[in-house]
Amino acid sequence: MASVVLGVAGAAVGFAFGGVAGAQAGWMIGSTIGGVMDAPKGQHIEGQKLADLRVQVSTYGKAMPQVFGKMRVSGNVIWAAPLIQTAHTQAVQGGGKGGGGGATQTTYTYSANFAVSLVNHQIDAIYRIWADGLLIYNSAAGDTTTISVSGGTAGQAAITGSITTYLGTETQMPDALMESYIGAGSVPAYRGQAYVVFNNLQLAHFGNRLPNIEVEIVREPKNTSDFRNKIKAIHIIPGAGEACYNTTRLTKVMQNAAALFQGTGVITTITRNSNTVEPRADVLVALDQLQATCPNLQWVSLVACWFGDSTDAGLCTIKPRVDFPQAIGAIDFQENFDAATAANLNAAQTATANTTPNLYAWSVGTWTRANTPVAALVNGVPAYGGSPSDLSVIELATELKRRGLKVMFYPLIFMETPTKPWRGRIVPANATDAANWFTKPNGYNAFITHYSTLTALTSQIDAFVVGSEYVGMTSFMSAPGVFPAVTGFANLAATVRAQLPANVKTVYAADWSEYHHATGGWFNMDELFANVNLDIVGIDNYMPVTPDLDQSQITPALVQQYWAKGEGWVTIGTTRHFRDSATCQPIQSPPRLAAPPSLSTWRDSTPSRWLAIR
Amino acid sequence: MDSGKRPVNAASIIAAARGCLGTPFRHQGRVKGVGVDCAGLCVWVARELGLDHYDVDGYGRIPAGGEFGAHLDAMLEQVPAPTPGGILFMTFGGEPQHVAIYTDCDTIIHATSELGKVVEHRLDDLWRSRVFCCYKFREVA
Repeated sequence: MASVVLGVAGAAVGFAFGGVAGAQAGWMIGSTIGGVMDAPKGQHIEGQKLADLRVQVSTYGKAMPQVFGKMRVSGNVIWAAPLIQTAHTQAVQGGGKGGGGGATQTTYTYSANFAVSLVNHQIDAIYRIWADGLLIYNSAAGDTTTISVSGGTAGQAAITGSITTYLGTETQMPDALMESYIGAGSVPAYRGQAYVVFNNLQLAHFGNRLPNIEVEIVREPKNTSDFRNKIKAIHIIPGAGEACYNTTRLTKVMQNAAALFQGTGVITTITRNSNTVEPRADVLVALDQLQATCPNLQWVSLVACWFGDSTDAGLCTIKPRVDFPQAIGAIDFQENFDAATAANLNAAQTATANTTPNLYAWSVGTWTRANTPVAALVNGVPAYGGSPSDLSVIELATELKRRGLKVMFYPLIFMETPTKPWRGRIVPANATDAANWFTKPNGYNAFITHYSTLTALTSQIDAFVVGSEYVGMTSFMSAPGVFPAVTGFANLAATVRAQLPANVKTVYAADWSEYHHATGGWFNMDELFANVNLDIVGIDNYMPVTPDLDQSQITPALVQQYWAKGEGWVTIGTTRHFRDSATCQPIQSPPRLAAPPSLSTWRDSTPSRWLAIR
Repeated sequence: MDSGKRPVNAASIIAAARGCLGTPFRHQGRVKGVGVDCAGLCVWVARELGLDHYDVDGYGRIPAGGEFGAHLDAMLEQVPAPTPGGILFMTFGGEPQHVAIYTDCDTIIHATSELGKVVEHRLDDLWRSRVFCCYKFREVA
């Protein structure tokens, strides 16, 4: 931590980096207790002063950062006035005999006026400011130009002062405080630079030195309003996290932690899904930001994850996970709806929730915290969050509908094996394994149909993803032209179609490589893609459009040329762009037809296999 | 106007006030180079220009129930907007209690206890928001 450290009384420290504790020890100001107690009548006791009131350091030649997006930056002190010394004189109570006394004592406090440069460009907003890690300004709580500093902890020196913020516009004017020291007309306006000016910041809280200032700033991309306005559909992730989708605030009470950690009588309560400065569930804050960023948003795909435990389809089971078990040793947990919001639960929520008022219990179907595996740890931390509870996805889907958005529900498998492989790596060893992967207990069908029969959810959605990117499964050919997993998905689509409300579209989200398989067959997905029970085939499109050229050779014109060509570029095993070359074999040379980049071209060039049947 | 006095105009007021820049802040101070308070700066400027009827003494550090404003109303002419060479009556802590001299380049000259001296700086948004009302000397056209 690069703090600006000022001189210490009687000892010229120059400047030093770090050593906050030492700096504070060195900055104790005030008369000794003994001096106070023994104060003779009429004597004046002079407290210690800071001998050197100059700010000793700010760095010349320091690179001025450029920031994109939202960033917490520490600044560079570009101006500091001599410290402001305030004398506090008070009468000191004399000893017992005689009374009267009349001794006085003067102590000193210090405050500082200084300016901190942030970045070398205009920014859109300053959100928060920290001093020595302590939040002293929060734009959500006040004015955006000049604000009073608040904060501080009980028992510590109060933090007072004000801050003037400059966003680096080309019209900003010089700071009045700096002018009052340097002279009107003699201060640059620092146009094009974002900076903040602190006025009379009390330093006692910071060990009587300038605190390390950090500022959270945001710089939105410029000239991209067209781009943002064009975004009409978006995925909501992470998909994993027990409470990440709950729109109701949840708390976790560690019931027996009192005895273990806190001493008796103290129960620790932790908020689970309200971690911003706003007193709302995190997901609601995120949705507000999303809709502000993408005003023309129409569709949202709501991802919810269970976990597979093997890439061998014969061994793979699919179950939800929880973040933590019901009890860890002596610590037990109770989860509650936040008391303030529990009263607002609607009927669907309370039907899914526990019947006891305010008590919340995680559940996904018949899975409860008691019978659900805990998310595996990698290096001591969870590899993924747990699965979103049924209540959380219902709450979020309901909220999305309330906001006028269309919802595509997207159940997804994460692979909870050490390398966290892609679900497309699940491969069956034989036709039986392929078929059983769907139908066995804790198989894929049980996972999907849990959600397709969850009517509180399906009444709130517009589309439902039956499967996505199971390339390893769908490309498995048990006999020439026989693809058992494709049949499995087709059967599942029929089941789900019958369970869902009629207006809900069924979707298969294909990988771009999925309609051919590794040994050269083509159109293995026809049985599913042309199925009457499947309404939409989406393609997760990462396909290379052009030959594998050096980046400098790839031009917009070249991309357009190959996009319109009607043939994709076969790159399996031959391109650095392919996501996992280790498991892909180089294919025949010369390259042959691969994924056609343009769907319209596909429609024109391959009418018989897909659209004709459909 | 008394013919023995120099002409009073915005430029002479501002020049006189600028001459006080750096004078330490002293409560009830009235002397350039020795000590002035915010009112004292205005009084000194008025006296310097031969307008010697602008003073009140014996006031406290904290304004008492609009007394300051009443004196200003009595001695000065209220105007709707800041005028060069005019005086701005400013609010601190919820009550108008500070005066500053407005210049011809959108700055103010005033004695501030916070910085302990007479300073001149831009009338930025914050200071502008503190302006309670504006006055000018009656002798200035």
